[in-house]
Amino acid sequence: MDLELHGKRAIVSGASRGIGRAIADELAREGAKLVITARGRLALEDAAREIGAASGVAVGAVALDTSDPESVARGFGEAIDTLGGGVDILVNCAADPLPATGFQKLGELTEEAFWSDLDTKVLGYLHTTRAVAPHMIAEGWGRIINISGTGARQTVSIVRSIRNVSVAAMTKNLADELGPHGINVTVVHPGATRTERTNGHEQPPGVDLDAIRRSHENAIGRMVEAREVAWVVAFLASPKSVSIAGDAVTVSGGVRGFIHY
Amino acid sequence: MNLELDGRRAIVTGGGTGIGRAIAHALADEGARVAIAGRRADVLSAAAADIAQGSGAEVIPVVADTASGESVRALVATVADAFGGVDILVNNAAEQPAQQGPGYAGVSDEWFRRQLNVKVLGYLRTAQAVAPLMAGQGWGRIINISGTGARQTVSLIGSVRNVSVAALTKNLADELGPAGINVTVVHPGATATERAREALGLDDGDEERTRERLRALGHHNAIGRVVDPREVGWVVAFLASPKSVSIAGDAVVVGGGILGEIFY
Repeated sequence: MDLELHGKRAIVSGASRGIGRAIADELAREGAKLVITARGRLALEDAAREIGAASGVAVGAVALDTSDPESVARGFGEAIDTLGGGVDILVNCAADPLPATGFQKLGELTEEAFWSDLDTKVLGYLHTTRAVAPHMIAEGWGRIINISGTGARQTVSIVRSIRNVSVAAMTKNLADELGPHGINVTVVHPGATRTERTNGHEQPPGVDLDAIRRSHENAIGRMVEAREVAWVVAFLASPKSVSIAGDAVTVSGGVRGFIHY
Repeated sequence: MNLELDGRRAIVTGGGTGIGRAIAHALADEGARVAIAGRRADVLSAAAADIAQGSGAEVIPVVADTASGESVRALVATVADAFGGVDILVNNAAEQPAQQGPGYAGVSDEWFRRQLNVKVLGYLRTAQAVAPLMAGQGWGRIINISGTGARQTVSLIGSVRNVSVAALTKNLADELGPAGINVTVVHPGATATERAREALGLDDGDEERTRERLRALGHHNAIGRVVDPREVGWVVAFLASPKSVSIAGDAVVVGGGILGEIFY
């Protein structure tokens, strides 16, 4: 299927590693012009070089912090300049890394951790959307894909569930508002996903990955690979996905048991 | 993206018209060998010839009635014989209208049973017939076409049959997933099939009246227009592909984003 992504201009946040990196790889493979963003400059520039070398397309890298509106305004200005003055696709994937705030119990949960997560994943997604929407509206076409997570439907941690379901709520509001301008906004819920971080070598302190894997026992009987999430996102970034707007696509391999309608 | 559908063997029920036909075309465009099933031989033959010509793929018509277990078993045996197996099943056969009269008073026991027999048990029958073939080869895709009536009050029977398909889907997905078979459900909203074009007056040139009709039916969507059957077909082709392995048991809604309500 020709996803018609060749030459489309895309920005992927949180793309120096993990699911964001896999999405950037896939969009580049489909011929999209790409700028990737993350907070840490060194890892980001390495990722851009590797993606560019593997795909043969030039990949820009802009270090920015999506939780900081000024950093987004400046960084996205630079990213959009790099892409030639416009942007067609935004993939929001930047989130606080797993060990920092992910799995505190009630007694351990601090307001700082709550706000850190919501500032990055909820307000952060809104900051980047503000930066790209006027360009997409001007062109009458766009795709915004928000990476959330099955924590929206499962008890993993208080903050995880809140931030993920908040992303879904924001997605549908944006979809209804931006849809008439040709912009489809969707949300993708990965479950436990195999990335370089969950590959077993570095178990972050205080995180029981085995417990997480058990809570994500799924129909396909194995962890989903980051690349398998990226295929779905590439489809959603394409004009071929025009019938999907505001709704969620769950890419967990089918978390067992509960049925959602 | 290479959907890796080249040479895969597919059955699309209700494949002679409307959304089913568009799905069959999308699969054939990707190089799949497609059997379209339906009740009317003349409609099926014409559609199969058209799709084969448009795609260059092998498309065969098989007359079958999913309301009958015997007919379904014969369908799957015929296709397995012709193609040497089955990799993909798209359940799309349903009768229209879902309900003959308005409100609960419009629901007769007979029509209720008939609708659930075709759309719910019909989907189960085809799944029962193909699952052993798919499990034997360790790979398969079953895509059930339901509808946004699962989430909206359009008609009582329409909502019951569609949400039943979603329930069926997740149970099948959990059971068949370990065998390499991903089962998913797709919910179209108002879709510009020939029948709908006529019913909604899409071709009569009065856009305001069309919008009013869509609004009245709860099909006012984010993209601001009725979804085309081809646009549903693209999503189903992706779900039929190995590239969709991360999606199992869940729904993909292809109504262009029905305005207002948020689902989690």
